[in-house]
Amino acid sequence: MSESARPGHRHGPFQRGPRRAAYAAVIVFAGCLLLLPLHGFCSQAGMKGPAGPAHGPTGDREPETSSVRLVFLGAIELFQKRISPIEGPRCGFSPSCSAFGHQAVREHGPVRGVMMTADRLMRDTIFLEPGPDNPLLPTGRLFDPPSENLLNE
Amino acid sequence: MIRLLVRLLLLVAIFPALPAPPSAAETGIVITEKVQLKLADAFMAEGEYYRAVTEYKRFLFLFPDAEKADYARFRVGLAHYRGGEYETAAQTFATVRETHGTSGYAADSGYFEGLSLWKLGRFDRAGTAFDGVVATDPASEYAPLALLGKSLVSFDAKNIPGCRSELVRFLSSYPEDSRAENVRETIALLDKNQPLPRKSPVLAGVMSAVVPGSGYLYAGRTGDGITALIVNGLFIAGTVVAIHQENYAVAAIVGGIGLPFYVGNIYGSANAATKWNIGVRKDLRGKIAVSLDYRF
Repeated sequence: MSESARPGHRHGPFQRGPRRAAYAAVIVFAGCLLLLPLHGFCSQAGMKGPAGPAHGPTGDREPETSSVRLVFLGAIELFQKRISPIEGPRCGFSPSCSAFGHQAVREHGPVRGVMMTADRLMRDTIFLEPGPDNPLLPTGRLFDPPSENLLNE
Repeated sequence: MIRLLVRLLLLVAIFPALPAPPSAAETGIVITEKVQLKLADAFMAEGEYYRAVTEYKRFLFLFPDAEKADYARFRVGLAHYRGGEYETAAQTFATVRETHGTSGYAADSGYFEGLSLWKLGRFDRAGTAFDGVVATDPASEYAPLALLGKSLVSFDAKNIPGCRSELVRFLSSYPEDSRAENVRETIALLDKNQPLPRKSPVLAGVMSAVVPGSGYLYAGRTGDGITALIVNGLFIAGTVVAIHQENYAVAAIVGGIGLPFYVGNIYGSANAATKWNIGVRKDLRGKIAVSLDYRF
């Protein structure tokens, strides 16, 4: 049987049509996942008003109103409370990657927070070593707060 | 018996007339200008800056027309500066400079006002304060220090040519100063490092967008580059294989999880290049400070 006569084999410009469509669908889906936090970003921008009283470092923050941000923060808190304690502290950085992600999403929004957290997760590897960017703390961990990763020269 | 009673009455009668014991006369404390300033200076010397501020202010309250009022006001500013309250310190030094312009503390106040503003990151105003010291009292011991301070402020404001020009100004204004040789060495160091080596964050990001991890390699982070390449390679390969197998749900999940890592790799590469630039600048800044032997 010739190749062209095989069942299911198609010729012409539409030969790989469904596969191309699948690639496009995956890219669109992934793009939507990435753009999803923009909704929260925008709604956060809409909530901005006159500066309120200064908040201390512990607890007395304004209640979170962005739903997307709440989802991300909730997921990180769930990890911190339910999953992380199973194996104990393992992160080589201080603050830990989950605390970093929580702070990054809370302070810089879901889009930038997720990017910063993904970058941090890829840096928390066996190649980790102290340097001027990440000084070694007495706890044996490397100091790397979100404020040091804002692309500010 | 009567004689005894008379003696006792006599004793009681003359008791108030007896002189007081000498120790009782010495327990009283008289607060003089000297005593109050000594107390404030003692707190200052012990590093009790907030108590020192209280005592200097008490001095100014008790003796507002004292000859050393300018000294007390200057020391209030200095205590705030050493206590890390730079905003209040800058305001206090500015007040001393304006109200005691003719006193010996005007140049000192101007110099420390510059330092306080520098600590607050207000480089322009710090430079102006240092310029004021040189302009109003060029013979003061703080005038050459103000020029050195202004050169470092210019460096911190990313104005390296400005930093160099202040050092040249120092050499022309104070050629006989003991720090002139250090300044010459610093100028040579600056010339050697001009232009400052730099990695482009934009280029790093674009490189990582094309080949994940390559931007990290460009920024000198080999380990992070290898990790980013492996992580993103696995996610991309997993997505492509799932699509080839027409398993679109798996492809969407793997692609969806991998996408933040891909974008994070771009962000991280740009961040790594930024940190590299900061590191180079910090390194040169440290060398300049050591070369100038400038401490404050």
